[in-house]
Amino acid sequence: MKLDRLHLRLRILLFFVFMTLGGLGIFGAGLWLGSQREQDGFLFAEIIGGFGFLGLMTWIWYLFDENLAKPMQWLAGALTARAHTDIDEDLNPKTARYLGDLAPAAREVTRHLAQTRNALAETVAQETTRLIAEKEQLVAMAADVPFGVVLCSGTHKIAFYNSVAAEMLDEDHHHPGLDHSLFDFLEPDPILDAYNRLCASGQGPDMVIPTLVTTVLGHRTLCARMRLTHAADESDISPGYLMSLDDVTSDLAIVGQASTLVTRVFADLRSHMGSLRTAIEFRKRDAALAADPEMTEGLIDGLEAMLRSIGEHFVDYDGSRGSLWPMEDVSAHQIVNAVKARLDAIDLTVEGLEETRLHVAALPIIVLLAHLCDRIVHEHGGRVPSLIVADEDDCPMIALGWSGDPLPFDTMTSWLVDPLDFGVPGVTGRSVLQIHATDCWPEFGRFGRSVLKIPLPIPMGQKLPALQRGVEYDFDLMQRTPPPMLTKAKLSDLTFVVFDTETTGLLPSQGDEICQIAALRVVNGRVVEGEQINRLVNPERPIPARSTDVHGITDEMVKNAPTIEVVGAQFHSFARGSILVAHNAPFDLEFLRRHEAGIGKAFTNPVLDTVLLSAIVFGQDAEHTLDAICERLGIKIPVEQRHTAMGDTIATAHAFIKMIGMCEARGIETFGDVIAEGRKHKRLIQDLNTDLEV
Amino acid sequence: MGERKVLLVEDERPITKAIATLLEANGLLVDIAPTAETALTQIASNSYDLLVVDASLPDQSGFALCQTLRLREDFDDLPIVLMTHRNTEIEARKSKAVGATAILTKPFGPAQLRVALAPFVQLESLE
Repeated sequence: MKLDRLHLRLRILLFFVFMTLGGLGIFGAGLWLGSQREQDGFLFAEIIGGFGFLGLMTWIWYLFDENLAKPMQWLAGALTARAHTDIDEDLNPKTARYLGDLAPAAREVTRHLAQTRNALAETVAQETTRLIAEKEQLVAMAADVPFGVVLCSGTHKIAFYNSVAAEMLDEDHHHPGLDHSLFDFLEPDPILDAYNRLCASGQGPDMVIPTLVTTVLGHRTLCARMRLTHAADESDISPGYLMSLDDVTSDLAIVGQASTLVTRVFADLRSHMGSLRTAIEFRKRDAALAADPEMTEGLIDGLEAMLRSIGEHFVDYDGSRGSLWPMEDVSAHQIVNAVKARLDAIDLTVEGLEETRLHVAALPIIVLLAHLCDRIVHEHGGRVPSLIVADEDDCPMIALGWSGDPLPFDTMTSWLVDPLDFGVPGVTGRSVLQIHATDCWPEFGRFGRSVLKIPLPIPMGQKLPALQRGVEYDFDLMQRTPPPMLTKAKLSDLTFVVFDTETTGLLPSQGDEICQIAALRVVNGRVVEGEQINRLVNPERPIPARSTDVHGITDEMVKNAPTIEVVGAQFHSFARGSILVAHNAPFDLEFLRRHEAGIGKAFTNPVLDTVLLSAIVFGQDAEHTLDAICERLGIKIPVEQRHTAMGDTIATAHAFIKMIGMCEARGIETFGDVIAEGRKHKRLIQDLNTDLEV
Repeated sequence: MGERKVLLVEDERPITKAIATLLEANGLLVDIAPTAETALTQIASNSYDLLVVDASLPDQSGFALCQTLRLREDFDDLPIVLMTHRNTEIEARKSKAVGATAILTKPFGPAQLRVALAPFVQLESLE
């Protein structure tokens, strides 16, 4: 009969019977051996009995520890984990097989808990499906808003932003994130001024203040419109605010450029004209001067100098015409559709390369084309032209084609002086052509057709990567007040950056370097999906094959990647104001801190280590590898993701969130509490918060 | 072979004087038309070997005059040199599209005038 099949009480009875019989046996054997000696028989019997009993007790302790104490500790940890997190995995009965009915009973309890939890989750899921669908619709709408939107708390921390705002605020890979201060990205003075006036107005959300604000590095000027979320009152003297952002950098540059050009032209002309008119006045009134060849030669020289100067300004003007109006990269398809939409009474046909990309002031071009189509229809007795998109002499071109006589040049010229109707006064077809540094003309096309051609020669702007549409938000951040001291801050009120590195080896002191770094942000106990970085790093040394076998990163993959000086600075920016979290953090931080001088930043963030959290939650003797922790917490890491920087970061983040919940359930609620508990396990891992007093 | 005739369509007196003087010095007969309308009248009653047309005329543009002439079958082959004001690719394409045989961008000097007119008339003394 196997021992683990006996009832627990019977086994404990047998245990004590065995212990008693064993003790009696040992002492009996000692007495018998002592009686065989001529001298010191009792002493010998006591020594034999004593050592024998000690050995028996040690063996019994070992059996008790292995089969009862350790499984009980494991069972307690597993039950705690299931009580506070949603682990569905069954308890492994083999681990506690000597605990009799306790393990099956615990299994039943956890199964019942999981079933109840699943049933509850299912009910909640059904109830919230409609709300989620509505939320997704709202998120999609917010993501599609064509200007930046940011919602901030009264402490100027970001609680909502859309991708357009992220693009505007991002300078030098300084990406905005939830709970970041708005003043990390925008100059504070104009915002504080507008905010204070909004609060003082007493009008709450009914008042809007527009203001111009620059980004902290000065790369962009934004037009911001601010509005409070609610009126400031005694219960909330710092209301949050909503801000819409529009990038007016290029508009201001254009105004400045045009203004500079005009100023230069007038300054030059004034100077030349003053001298020439003075000389002419004198020449008119003095016959001797009029006959003086030196005077005539001087006047011609002056005239030539003025003409040369005007000619130079013409060159400047021609060169800048394309940039005197905000240009955008659009497909011809978009232009054609917009023209058709404006001419809904005319059934316009389209020919040619609609996928052609154009760099144009879209609205003026659309209005001009619609105007020309409309005039052609009237000129040719209702005959509808085709809109043709083509490449001619390596230059994109839009043309209008029709069967019949060519358009008289003078008629076309007269159409170009008609004012165009799109809300900007004084704009004509001619001025639209001028801002595109182009012209238009009628000519015979192929197959006896007439065409009116408009080349669009301005080269495409630098292609920007497609903008990831979306929003990030956590409205709980609107209510959050900054803690007086970090150590007193509740864990749920802190922002964490979980990260992991892949390296060329394990010894930074012997030249091993980082070859990949990944990080994500955890705010309010959840991973913020849109806020993560994952960068390959050129380690500037070969990656050993044994390391490539672990993480899969090759020399070829990193040869064009930025160095740690660049990526380290991006990571530092990403992690500002946050608690760093890693699994075995001293290892990763050692690699980073060796490059602080090159990066130009110090990694002084407080640090939490999931190894220490595991020791706090599961006991120091438990296994604290990332795999073991994840297994205990029911976190699955896909095999292909394991030992990749982002895969391990995601696993660490989810383990961290679950263990934080378990800590809070045990009354370990503040950052200081965790640090104090962690210091009880400092033989496990280096304390990286030695400067914090708890 | 008789004397070759050139019609200079230009309204600005100094440039008309300068071009006409140089062409006549090469044995060419030069008629001057200060407007497009005058030019069309003179073309109707005279036969010209070459037209030198300014792009900016008081009554209509030189581009329009070119287009008008090219739309008439009897002037298909008449060489027309168009004097434009912009030295751009777009200006060149526009000139060619309306039927100019060659273009001459202002400002220009005698040497550039000789190069532009050389395919159509003999201009030895401009060397």
